[in-house]
Amino acid sequence: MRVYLDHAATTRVFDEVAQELVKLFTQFYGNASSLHSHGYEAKRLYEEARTKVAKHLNVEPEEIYFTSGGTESDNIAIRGFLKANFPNGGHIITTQIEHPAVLEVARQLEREGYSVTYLKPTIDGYVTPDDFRRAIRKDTVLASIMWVNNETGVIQPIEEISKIALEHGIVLHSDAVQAIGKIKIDARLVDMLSASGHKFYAPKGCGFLYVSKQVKFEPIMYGGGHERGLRSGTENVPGAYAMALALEIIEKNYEAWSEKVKKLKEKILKVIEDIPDHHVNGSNTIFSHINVSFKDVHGETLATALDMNGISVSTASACSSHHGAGRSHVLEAMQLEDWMIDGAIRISLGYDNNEDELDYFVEVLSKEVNRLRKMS
Amino acid sequence: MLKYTELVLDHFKNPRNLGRIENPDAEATEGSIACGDMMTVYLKIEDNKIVDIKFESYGCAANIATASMMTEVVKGLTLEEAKNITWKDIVERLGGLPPVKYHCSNLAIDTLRKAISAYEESLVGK
Repeated sequence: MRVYLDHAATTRVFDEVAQELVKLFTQFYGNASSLHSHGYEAKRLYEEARTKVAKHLNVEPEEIYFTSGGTESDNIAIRGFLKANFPNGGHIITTQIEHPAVLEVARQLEREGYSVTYLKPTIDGYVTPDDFRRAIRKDTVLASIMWVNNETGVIQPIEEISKIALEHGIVLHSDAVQAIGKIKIDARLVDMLSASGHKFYAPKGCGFLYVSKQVKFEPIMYGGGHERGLRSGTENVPGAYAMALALEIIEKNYEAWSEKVKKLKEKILKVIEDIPDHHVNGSNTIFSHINVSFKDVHGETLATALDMNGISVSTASACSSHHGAGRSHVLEAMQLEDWMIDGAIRISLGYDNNEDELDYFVEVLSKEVNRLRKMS
Repeated sequence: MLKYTELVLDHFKNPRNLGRIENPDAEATEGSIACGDMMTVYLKIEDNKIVDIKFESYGCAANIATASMMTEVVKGLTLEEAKNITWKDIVERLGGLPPVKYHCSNLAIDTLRKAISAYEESLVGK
């Protein structure tokens, strides 16, 4: 049996979305900027998609910019905002647990003369509103705080942070790549928000960025002036259409699907409870994520053993780079014990997982943990 | 996961000579600076020959597989012959390893050599 439990890495495109995509590739292939019927057709589908995505987030269509994915959205939000408003420097607040698409932008900005505070998470994996408040300086101009952490699934206190940012006139960006399509979020809590299509059953290579009308930003990439001049590049009509449709499908089935996934997660946790010397990393986690470590078992070893049984999970901590870049910066920032960092595996469920798959998974998991422990 | 050969996966799944030897003639534990993995080797030696060898491992799949292969290769060899086995021999016998895992085979060899040295030192003065 093959079981896919790495939905935080990427998801399968919904069948219905894939079928519609074929039509977009072969029938509605016009360039959305062309001035003829093929172009108008594509443009109509593209703008429909924008309206649907905006509706999902409860924002205006003109506040949605289609991009190539999460990394681009993060880059153009942060850099585009600073370029338009604070090109000569300023203070930025972010976290130690961001995805590299934000973390590396922040590090580059430091090299360019900006100053950055990286908030430390608690041992449970979230940053606190109090720490955020304490980090604010007179010259703080921007904060970038992820909505849900990709490794642990811990939901960050965006609502409280939003209030504090508003009080201090700080523009707030959030990388919501792991939140969109999984939890209902109020995008109005932030000024800018990044999302990636392939994390919610649309294809790779498409994403979007929400930027509030109140916020001015400039392009960082120049070209044909698409997306109101802020993101040049021929419109990815199939990508935009696929994201809108995938979100629609999720909305329609949300109650049933999220309940199902929650139950599957509880089932896994129950089995894990019976395995001695384990640690679930992070609390207040999203319903689809489990990050867990078993003492005396390397995360990488366990992931390999599961893979040999047809089960795909992921590990953030590769043994080959124990003391280097490959060790999970998230779990290290949480100051967990070494065995928890080296032993961590990430199990991320999707709407398409079922009971049979999970029965098989928990059986193999218990067996392999037991087997690997006997070796040491 | 890294791409491993069938043989590596087989050794990971069914490690040869896994466990410990009670009252060994020599034993050694070594850790890899590169990754923090640990392994222990136990030797039973008669007439300068390795007549039995077992290992324990706290490490990745490559660590377990290279240790397992190393024990297969050196069992029955004289100490001199065993000392001449290199990490490259182990990698070759396994049909290759991802380069990022070469240090695992190095750890298997280092631990073996450390155990042999411990044995030789124990003979001094006897």
